[in-house]
Amino acid sequence: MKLNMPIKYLILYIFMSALGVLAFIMFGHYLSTALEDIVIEGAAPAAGAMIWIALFFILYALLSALYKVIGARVANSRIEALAHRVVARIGDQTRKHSESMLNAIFVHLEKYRPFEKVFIPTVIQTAVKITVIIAAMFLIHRNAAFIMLFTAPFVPLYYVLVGLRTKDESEAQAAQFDELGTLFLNLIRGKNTVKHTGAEHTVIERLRQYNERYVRETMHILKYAFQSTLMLEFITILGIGLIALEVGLQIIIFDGITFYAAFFTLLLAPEFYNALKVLGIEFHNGKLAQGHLERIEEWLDTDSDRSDYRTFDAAPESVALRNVSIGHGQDMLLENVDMALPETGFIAITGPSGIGKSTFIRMLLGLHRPRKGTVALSDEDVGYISDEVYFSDTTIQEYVSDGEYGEADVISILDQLRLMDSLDNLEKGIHTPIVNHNIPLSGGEIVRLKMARVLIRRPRIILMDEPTEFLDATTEALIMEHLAELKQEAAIVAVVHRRKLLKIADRHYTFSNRQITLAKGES
Amino acid sequence: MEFLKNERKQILYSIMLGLVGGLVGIALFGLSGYMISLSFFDPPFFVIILIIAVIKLFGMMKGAFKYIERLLSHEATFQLIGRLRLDYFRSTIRTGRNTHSVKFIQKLNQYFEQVENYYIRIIYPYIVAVLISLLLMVLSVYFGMAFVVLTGGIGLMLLFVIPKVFEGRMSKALEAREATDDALYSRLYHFIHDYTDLWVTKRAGREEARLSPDMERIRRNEDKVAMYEAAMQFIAQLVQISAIILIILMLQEDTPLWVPMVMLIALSYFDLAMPVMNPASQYRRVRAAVSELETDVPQEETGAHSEVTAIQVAGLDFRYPNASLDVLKDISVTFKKGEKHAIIGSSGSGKTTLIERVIHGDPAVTLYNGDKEAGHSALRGNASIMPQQLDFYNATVMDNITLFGHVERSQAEAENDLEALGMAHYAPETAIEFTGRLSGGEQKRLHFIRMLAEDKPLWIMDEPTARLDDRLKQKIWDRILSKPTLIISTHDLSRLEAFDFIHYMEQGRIIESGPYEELMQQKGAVYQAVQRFKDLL
Repeated sequence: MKLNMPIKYLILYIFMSALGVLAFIMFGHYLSTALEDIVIEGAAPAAGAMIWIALFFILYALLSALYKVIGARVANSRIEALAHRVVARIGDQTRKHSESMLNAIFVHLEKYRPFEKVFIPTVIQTAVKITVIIAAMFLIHRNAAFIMLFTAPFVPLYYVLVGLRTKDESEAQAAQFDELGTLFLNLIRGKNTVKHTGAEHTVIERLRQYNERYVRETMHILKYAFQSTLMLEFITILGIGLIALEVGLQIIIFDGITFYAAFFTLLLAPEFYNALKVLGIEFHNGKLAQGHLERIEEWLDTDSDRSDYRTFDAAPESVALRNVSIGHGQDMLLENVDMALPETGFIAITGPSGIGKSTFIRMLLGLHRPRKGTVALSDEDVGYISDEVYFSDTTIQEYVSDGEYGEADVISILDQLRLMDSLDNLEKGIHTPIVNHNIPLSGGEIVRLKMARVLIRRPRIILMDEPTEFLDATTEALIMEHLAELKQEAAIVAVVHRRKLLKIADRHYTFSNRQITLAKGES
Repeated sequence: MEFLKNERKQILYSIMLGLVGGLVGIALFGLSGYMISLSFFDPPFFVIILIIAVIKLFGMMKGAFKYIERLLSHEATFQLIGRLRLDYFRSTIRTGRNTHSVKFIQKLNQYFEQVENYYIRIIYPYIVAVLISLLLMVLSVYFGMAFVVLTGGIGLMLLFVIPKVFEGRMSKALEAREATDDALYSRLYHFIHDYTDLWVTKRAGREEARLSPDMERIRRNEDKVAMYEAAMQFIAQLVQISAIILIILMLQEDTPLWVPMVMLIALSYFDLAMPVMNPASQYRRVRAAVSELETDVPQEETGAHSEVTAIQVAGLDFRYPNASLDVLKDISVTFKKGEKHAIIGSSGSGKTTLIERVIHGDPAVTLYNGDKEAGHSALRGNASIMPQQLDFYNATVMDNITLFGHVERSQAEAENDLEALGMAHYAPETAIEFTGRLSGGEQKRLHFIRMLAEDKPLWIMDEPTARLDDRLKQKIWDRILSKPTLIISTHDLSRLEAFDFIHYMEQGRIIESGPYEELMQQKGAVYQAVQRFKDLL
């Protein structure tokens, strides 16, 4: 398993862990010395020794606490950076997968956090602990060190022999485990249909069966996990027992060990084996966390070039395309298109659905990079009219004026578009705070609000995606009227679904066979 | 805890096993310590061998106990969670809880994870640790009253004082975290859904930067929690070193041989009790989550079998919670058995909300069986419904069509329906997921097949033909119009003349209502809408 963390942190972790273990060993040293005095000599321990015991233990405790805090801080700031990188992938198409994006941030990232916060520091700490303890044992009681060296490989060996066989199975089951969990959640989510169809009892029966299976299969997985722990426990006990036996024999038969060394050995042996056990258990957790990292990386791999590929030197033309090709996934939508649009006038675009008209508008907006060719506009300030909007943390005043126009201007425009009637009903009129889209506007009202923004700013280029769903008569008439007026001084490029709008078109382009053909007007 | 009653036996066994296992573990260390001390005073050889054998045996026993205990306690917990799920589902289905938001589902998932933690990580280990502490106190009577006090003091510190001191801070931090998560969630949701507009008006960068403070707050919150955890452990370790020194001072004069034994017992007790502190400090927060799930299950509504001859909407006003505008204003309309009603109007005019009010029930909506009022649940026995938000489940296509076998439908019938609606690439046994794989049009069609299987006389539908091509639209219209009673909201006016009544909605009101011919002669809103529909390219 890869410890994907910068080397400087790894070195810091190693250094801090080593200091911690050393403090613990020093604590053990003074404790063993003091106990030797008490048990063997029958004397009171020296005050100095007691102070050292306390000091080294407190040092050890302090270092462990510090290690935890630093490990968490490093991890948390790295997770924050990762979150920023994921958020940076958000683009205008993300709303189609918004659930997946929100899951990446709120679920997968949180499930990955323990990997950096706990797993990496723990693995380093235990690895250092094992090494330092073995080294210390060579100085304290060499035979115990040999026993540790001989028994330690049984842990990884166990994983190779038994663990690998069960690993695949337990992974497959972990995936299933996840699936099982989601059926319950999507039944909760889809409870309305269950209710409407009166299927409550059938579905609950199914859920009950599924729960039973869930418990059965979960227990099956857990049995494996617990068996591994049990085996590790046995290896640990075997190791500690062997060391205890050897120490006992040394004391009685060979008389070859001091009390100091004996106690010290028995103090460190469990630390050593517990560390090995922890490594084994963490290995499993680490694997799970990495699955979540993969889900996050899927987002990081998506293409999200937010730099603007457009230039703004098309004047005197409003839009100038040279040799432009647009693709969408595997499909080519437009190939080698050249196009020059006039400074003013209404340019209508038609064609069958799915042929790339909306993508074309998105390309002009700077949201869809062409496969090749250059896109030039005459001005950076582009107006955009559609029937999609999501309001939050704003007011109508703010939305329409963008902070640049006063209340009187905004109201005058909204009045022209006959929006004031419904907006006046709001508690604070156009200054009512909007949170999470809590103003239910009709499709027509949204289009008119977007129109209001365009009317107030009067940009020189206006792009428009005419809604396919029908608008109310008022909106339609107002839109026609204002477009006819706006086209006098701006270039309006619009995807059009209604014949009526074609009447005011100065040019009419149709999309077919990856080409744009002029159907009406002069180029 | 009342929820644990069905698993009582498993719980009892696992607590007992945990207790014995813990004690054996402590004895194990004590014996090792005693062995060392003893060894230096020339005991008979077999005593040492015996002690070592016992130590090993104890070790094995401890491992085995732990194994069985974990199996039992996990099984009990999962069974409990299973029951909690069933109850939760029952109560959800019988209440008006809105379950469609991603955030809600995420929270629910989190709560269930916390329930798992609650029992496995907080309740069991805590009970076991408390029992062991009590037993140790009893055993320490042998060493003198001073030791009883010492053991009691340590237990009190580790299991009560330290967790209690941090509980308030911990739950505050976790609450703050939840609030930040909620705030970030809605900001992020806004950013994702409004991205196009933000980009066009060059505010995308600014909005993205506004996400940073929340993300920073989450980091600081996590740091704080880590800090608390580290502090708790550090304080416990201070208690530990004090205990070690006290033990030396108390025993060294009179019973020096006991020192190593008591010392190792103390160390192993700390190993057992310290991991309980952190989960125990989160008790309050997790308890709150658990109580979210322990809902009362309302009685099932009865009367689903009564016939519905009319649905009357009288003076219906409606505003969504937290919204600042009414979406429906004074709607009155009656839908009678055998009549076909179409509701048209621009998007956002209130069509969907009206349909939803009829589906979910409202004080202003009354169902009639002849002259008698029928309960709202009667709708279920009479109507098939296509709401705006369609639901699918992680299961086979067949299970999705028949709602897990609730509706009778043969394999061949299902295959025919799929084929007829251009979905032959799905077999009845194909497994589908509730989101992702199915396109909008496929969802409509699959739900439509579900309605065909239900075969009920009244159909209430919201936008049945949206996102379908013309050929499919007409096919679907043919089948819809063959039903005797219809309430249908639609943008697609291609078959409007086949309806008995048309209702035109604008700004939350029905502004025009009547038979098709009549309205076409009136040349009002419906007439204009039809003209505009014909104008579509």
